[in-house]
Amino acid sequence: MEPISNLPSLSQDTATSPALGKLGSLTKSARAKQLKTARGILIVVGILTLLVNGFMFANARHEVEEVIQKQISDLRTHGQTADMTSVAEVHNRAVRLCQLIYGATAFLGVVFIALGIMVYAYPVPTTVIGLVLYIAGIAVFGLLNPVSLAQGIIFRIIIIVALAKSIQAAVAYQKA
Amino acid sequence: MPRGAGMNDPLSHSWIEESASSQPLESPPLSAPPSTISCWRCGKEVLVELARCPYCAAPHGQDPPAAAVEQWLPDRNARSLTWLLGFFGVMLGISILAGTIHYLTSEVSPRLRPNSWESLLPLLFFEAIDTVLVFAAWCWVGVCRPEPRRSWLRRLAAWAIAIPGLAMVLALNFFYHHALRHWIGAAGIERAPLDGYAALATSIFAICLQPAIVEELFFRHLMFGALRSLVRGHTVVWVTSVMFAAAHVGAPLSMPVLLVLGALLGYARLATGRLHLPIVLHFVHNGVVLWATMR
Repeated sequence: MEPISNLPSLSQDTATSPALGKLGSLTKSARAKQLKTARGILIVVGILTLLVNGFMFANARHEVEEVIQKQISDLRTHGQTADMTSVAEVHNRAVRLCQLIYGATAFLGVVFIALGIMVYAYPVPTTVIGLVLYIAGIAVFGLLNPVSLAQGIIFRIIIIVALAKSIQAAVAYQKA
Repeated sequence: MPRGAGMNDPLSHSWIEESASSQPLESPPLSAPPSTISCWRCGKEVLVELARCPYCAAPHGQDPPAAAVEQWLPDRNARSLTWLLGFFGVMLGISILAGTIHYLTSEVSPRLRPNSWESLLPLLFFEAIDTVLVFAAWCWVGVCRPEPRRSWLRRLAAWAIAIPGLAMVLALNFFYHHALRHWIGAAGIERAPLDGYAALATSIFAICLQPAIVEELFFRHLMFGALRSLVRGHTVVWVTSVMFAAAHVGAPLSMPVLLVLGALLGYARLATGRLHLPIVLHFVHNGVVLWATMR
């Protein structure tokens, strides 16, 4: 029996060895699963952000009127009256400011959805920008209202960790 | 028992004899593997026929800089990116802390004269923390991927184009904040004359010099280098611009303009391959804004 000497060597490159190529595709599918999770997170966060801030945008006028009426009633309690001309000017500016903030945040939700859709085409940029914008959004609203930092903190930490892991998966997916 | 000794000899069957005399096993012919080369910039395997790397757009067929091939590895980039994003998150957290402390103490301690150099002390304190963090990130991450050397003509053209580019960004900045002030009464760029030369010097240091050096070091050197071998140049510019705008959480309404400024600084970095032009542009931009508030 002649010695078998023509079997492919395991030391060959992946490009020439089908066995090692299959291992590479398994790794790639694992990374793709992590990217799928990142896509889901970005799209869900984007939809929630869009819906909540869209509602707040539509309700901005009513919200400002409530706050102004409350302050006017507080002034009356202390025996003071408010200048209605100034109140009207403050009311208009406050409504525009609230609509600007809620509208910008709703646009941020649209951006999250777009990033989630493009995560397979551009894995590294979309995951990096998604994480950066999410943390920046928390930071901005934390500065506007520090009490909001503690709301849903566990949920936010989970999302941040998942997005951070998706960046590593995106880098590995792109290299694979 | 020798072969062929009898009819009942199991070894006498012809098919066994034929298999015994058949030729030894041969491995199936393997198809010729496609010829690939390792990209000099990102290290990935790409086909020889391609003129550019499909991952990082590096041109093939040219002699790569020896430093770019020997010193930089994609795995190092991935780890650096993760660490740098961690540092970025810490700096954002410090910005939140600074804003919260400023909000809580602004009415408690009104003793400081407004626009005096003492009123800038909290800003200097948090900028010192950011500076330490950026230099710690620089030491931790190490040397970033060097850019290919640009020709002197290209660098000269970049410097020449940057001047009108900066003028357009400044015009956009002032127009945008004027529109904000007119529409919602928001204080975009407030007029705040400084009290004395000490306040002027402190403001120049805190508002112009420190951000120009530290922010450019972090965004256009560390982050730029970490992303450069993973994505293309234009993508790196806009990703770092988004990060640059997001870092200014203290001025959320100014983020759109900061995104444009970040793109200008990123393209200046990309065109020249060095940090000098972005630092100068950043310093001049902040200096003009400071001058506008002092009038």
